[in-house]
Amino acid sequence: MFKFTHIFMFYTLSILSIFFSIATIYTNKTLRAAIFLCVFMIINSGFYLLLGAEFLAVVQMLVYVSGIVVLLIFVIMLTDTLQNEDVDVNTSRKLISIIISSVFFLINVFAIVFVFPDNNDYIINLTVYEESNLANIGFKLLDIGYSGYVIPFEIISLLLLTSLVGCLKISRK
Amino acid sequence: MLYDVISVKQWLILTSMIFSIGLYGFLIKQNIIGILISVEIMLNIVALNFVIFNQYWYSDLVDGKIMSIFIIAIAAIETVVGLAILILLFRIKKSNKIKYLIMKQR
Amino acid sequence: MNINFLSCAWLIPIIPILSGFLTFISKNFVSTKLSRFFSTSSIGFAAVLTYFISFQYILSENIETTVINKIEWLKYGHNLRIDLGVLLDPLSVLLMIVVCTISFLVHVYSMGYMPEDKSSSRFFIYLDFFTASMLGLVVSVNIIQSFFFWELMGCFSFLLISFYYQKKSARSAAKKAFIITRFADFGFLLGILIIGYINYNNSNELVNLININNDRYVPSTNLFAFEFINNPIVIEFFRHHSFMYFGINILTIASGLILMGAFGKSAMFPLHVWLPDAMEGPTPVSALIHAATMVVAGLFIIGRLINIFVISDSLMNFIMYIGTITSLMGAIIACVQNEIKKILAFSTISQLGYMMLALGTTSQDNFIGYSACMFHLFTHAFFKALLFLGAGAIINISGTNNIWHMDSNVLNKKSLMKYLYLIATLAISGIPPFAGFYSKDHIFLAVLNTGNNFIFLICVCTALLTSFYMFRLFFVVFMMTDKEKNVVNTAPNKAISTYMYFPMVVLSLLSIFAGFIRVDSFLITDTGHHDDNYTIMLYSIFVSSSGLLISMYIYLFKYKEFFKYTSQNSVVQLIQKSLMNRLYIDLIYVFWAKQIMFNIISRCIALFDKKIVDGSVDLVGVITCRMGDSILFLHTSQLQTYTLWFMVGFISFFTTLV
Repeated sequence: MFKFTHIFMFYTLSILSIFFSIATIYTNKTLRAAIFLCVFMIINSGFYLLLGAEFLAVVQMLVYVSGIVVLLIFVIMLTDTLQNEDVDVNTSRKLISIIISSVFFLINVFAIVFVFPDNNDYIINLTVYEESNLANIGFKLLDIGYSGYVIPFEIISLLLLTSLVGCLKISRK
Repeated sequence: MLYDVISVKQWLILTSMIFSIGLYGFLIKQNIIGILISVEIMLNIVALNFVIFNQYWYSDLVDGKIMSIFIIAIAAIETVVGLAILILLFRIKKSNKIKYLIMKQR
Repeated sequence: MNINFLSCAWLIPIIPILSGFLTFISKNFVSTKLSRFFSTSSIGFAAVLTYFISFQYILSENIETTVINKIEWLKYGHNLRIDLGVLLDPLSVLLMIVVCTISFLVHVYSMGYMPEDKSSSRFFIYLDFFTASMLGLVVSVNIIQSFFFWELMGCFSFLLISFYYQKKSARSAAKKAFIITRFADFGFLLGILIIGYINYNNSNELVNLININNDRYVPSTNLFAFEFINNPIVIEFFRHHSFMYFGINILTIASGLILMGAFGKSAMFPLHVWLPDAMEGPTPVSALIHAATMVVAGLFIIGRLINIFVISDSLMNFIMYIGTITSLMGAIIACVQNEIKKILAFSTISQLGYMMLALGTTSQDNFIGYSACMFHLFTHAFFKALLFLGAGAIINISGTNNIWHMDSNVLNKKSLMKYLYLIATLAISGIPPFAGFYSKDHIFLAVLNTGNNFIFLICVCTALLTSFYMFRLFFVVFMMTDKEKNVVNTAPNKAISTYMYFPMVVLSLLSIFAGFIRVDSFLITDTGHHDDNYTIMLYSIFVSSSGLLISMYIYLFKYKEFFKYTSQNSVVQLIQKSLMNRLYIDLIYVFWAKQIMFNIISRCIALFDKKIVDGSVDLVGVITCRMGDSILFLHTSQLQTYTLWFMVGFISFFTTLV
């Protein structure tokens, strides 16, 4: 039963996410693209839940949906692109871009299908391990040992501070 | 095979599909904010990829999740800085046809 | 004196270089007078040092070659070294004395002759450096050093001839001199290279031979050194038949090429055309360079390498014939010249031909020709320098070059000048007891020793002509009355200063007494002796005095009839015209240079250079630009295009991987 739910949710969410990402690209209006992006983020967080990374699902919602997309919408409204719509591009550019993207996708598919064999190593492991919980994420983030991530953690915090101050300075009147 | 179990292949095909959609959007958009949105899509999917590999091969470790956290943070920073510059640019140009701003050299 | 002067011999080329250099750097902040005085006195010091050194050398026990104080300059291998140094042997000591004396006297003369302005310090600098390069040539240790100083001499003579560079004729004369001598030096360099090459190839055997056969002292095994080249063992080694190319010995080929260089510098027959034009330089320059020093450089180098020249009789015969042609030609052309310096220039050519003729009579058994040549070189330097310096004084007084325009009344008043000039003219004509008689006598003896009577006849004719045209010069300038010439009073009567008189007096004394110095026994050890041959002496006295009498007859007594006869006779007019044009040899050279070399050969080469050589360099540039232009379309400033190309690259890369 659990497996069936898993498979069902996977396919549903994947179709939805593909639909919304195509919609994001396809619209002319920027605000609609931002809204579609927001929905796409939400579906992505569903993916995280499916993969057993609950913390990340929540982080995704918090940071992306309620932070970045909101910021995006603010900027769209502030900079007067609300009134202006996107124009259509010429078809040659469309053609080339489609070709490039699809060839890229096909290469990836080719690599994936022919490299990974169908054995047990490549089937999802749904057991919940003791070591892979939230507390360990915290421990790993502050671990100063060999495989600890304290240095990127500190650097990113510094980067956040810098970008905060910098953006304040940039957009000051 | 598709209904018994989800193998890593299906996840990876999904992510590469959405990535190439995001790539297409990046190449096609005239609006600068549209480009930023496509970049957001791509970054998101990359983070998802890390977690996929974490779950399938290293289930007892948390490294993939940490990587995704970093990616989310970096994407946030990048978006913020980009949007701040964009605001400044629009303030300077003060034009109606702002969305053609960067693309004017075409 | 207990001082060993011989070890100070290296100072002799250095002193003029130092004085020239010091004069050069202090040109702007010392007075002209001081710099001239300093320059002259340093050359005087070098001259005095030369006299001491040569006395010590002459009076030393065994007069053999002494090499002193060489420093290693370039070293390419154990035996292949190029040194700079000072070599004292009879030839170099003789020439050193000549060069230092004449140079010192010319310096003193120039102090009176050159006006005291800024350009005269330039003159003294050039004179110093020229003297230094001639001295460096004369004392050179190896053939490379002699080539080095040879070229330097050519450079400084160019600078000196074009001293009045504002005149176009001076510039073109200097160019002509330099180009002709430089062209001749091409042969010189080839000869040097051939000698070096064969010495280097056989250096092992040669060094072994020398070390075996020598017990007195270890000679130089440096492949370029004169000691090595002139070593009889080395020469004997190369006479082997394996060194024959086209039937000619390799050493003869090399010496023939060196001969070309010597002919250029010493103004022998086809390459003599630069010498008359070189009279554009100031008169002290003509006295120094074209009488005494530079033009004897060719004779010097042949004398230095005489051991390898005498291997081949035909080469020595060739030298003799060229010398004969040159002397006869110079004498004939000098008979019709109207300008005093041109007469002296052709006289120099003729006397150089004499010296070359004498040198050409040398063979392996007798070296009388060699000693006769050097003796004549010695005496000729003195009286020719006196003639040139006197000519300078005469030109200063009369203001004109042309002998038919000079006022003899004015010139006659300067009686000391007149007597000095008379002494010089007597010396060059070969009247005893002046110096020229003895040296010409030697030359006649050397020529007779070969048994070639035809050459002897031409020699005698040339002596007659020499005496004739020199006395023509003297009589026309000093003794002809005004109604027979058209006198032009162009310049004010410049006085002759003491500075100008002193060297002329010294030179006249030398012209009188230099003949008594036994140069020949100094130079070679066995002089097959000739005091007994009084017939030759009588021949030469007869010939010289007949030349004197003929010219006296024509120019003093019967000039009017002579002039009428020659101006009406068309054959004589034709001959005179062609001689005034110097037998059209100059025109042949100009034709060759302008029409053939410039128009045909140089144009082709210039076309090749412009189209192909420059064109290929331009082609590289054009290709680069076109290639750059062709991929310029990639550089849009758009992010999306760049991403596109990025993805294209990525795809192509990963397609190959997958």
